Amino acid sequence: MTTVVRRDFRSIPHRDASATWSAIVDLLTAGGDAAKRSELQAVAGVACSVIADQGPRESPIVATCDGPRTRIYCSYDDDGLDDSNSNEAKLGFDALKGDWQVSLPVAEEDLAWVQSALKKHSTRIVARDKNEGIGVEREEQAMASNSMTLDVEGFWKS
Amino acid sequence: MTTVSAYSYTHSVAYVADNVLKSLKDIIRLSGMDPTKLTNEWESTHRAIRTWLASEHLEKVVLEVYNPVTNALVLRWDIDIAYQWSSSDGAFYTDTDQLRYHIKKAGVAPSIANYDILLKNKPGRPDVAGWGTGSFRATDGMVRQSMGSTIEHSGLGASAAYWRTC
Repeated sequence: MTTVVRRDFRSIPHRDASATWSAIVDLLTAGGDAAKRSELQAVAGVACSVIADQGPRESPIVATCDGPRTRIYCSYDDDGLDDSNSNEAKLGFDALKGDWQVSLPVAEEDLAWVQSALKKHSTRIVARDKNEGIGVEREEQAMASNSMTLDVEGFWKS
Repeated sequence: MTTVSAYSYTHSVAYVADNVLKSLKDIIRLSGMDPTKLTNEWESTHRAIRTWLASEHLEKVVLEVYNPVTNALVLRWDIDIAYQWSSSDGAFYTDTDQLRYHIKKAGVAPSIANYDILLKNKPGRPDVAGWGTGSFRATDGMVRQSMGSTIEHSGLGASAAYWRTC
């Protein structure tokens, strides 16, 4: 069973793309591990382009690790100015524990250059077609009859 | 319940600055070039655009596509800034389709082409680290085609145009 936590960040125009990525890096690193923080900051320009393209509007930035999975959505325009749409609370766990990866949602037409640009800085920060789930999630969907995903925070909100 | 958003000039600056860079990324990619150079300089370019939009010194953002061997201009895109800000009109507007149509008309850049981004300001601009004076490549023998408004929020807007050889 995979535990999934969701966060919703207010982006453009409440924050510009650069400030949005910085806030997401702060969330994922909890202000801790300098090496992980540097790795995430090294791809800031590419991440800003993805955020400005509104990639995380409908399809999340996904952080996977040896612990719970974190899905991060961004809100834009009038939705971004309405703080009732956001949940930027700190995580109660290390979102990059152990073998971690961060997947950025990208339009299919941008995928090739974004993947190439990311590879120059990191093997852990990757891009996927925003209309497709990440590999691990696809495998889990195929095994849905044998397992379940628990959205703990979503459950308590419902 | 009706929710009314309060717009500030800072919101318009954030919206226009990020969408100018997004439009440049689209132009670069759809013209057959790699946007990585743009993203490597995203933070610096964004800081300059944001600062000079806020001070109302920024007149235009220019993408020069050039032949790296001869340094001659191959294609040029201008994004002209219009300052008619009013808090009363808060619609967010970015016309991606119009831009795509004209990028196709402008044509694909040669495979060896490189690009630079330049910002033109009114006199008296505040300094931004990493940015100094420079000059544009000559547009001799080229014609300018205007597209009209492509980005706008609350009257702070941007209109695109491109230059191509006759």
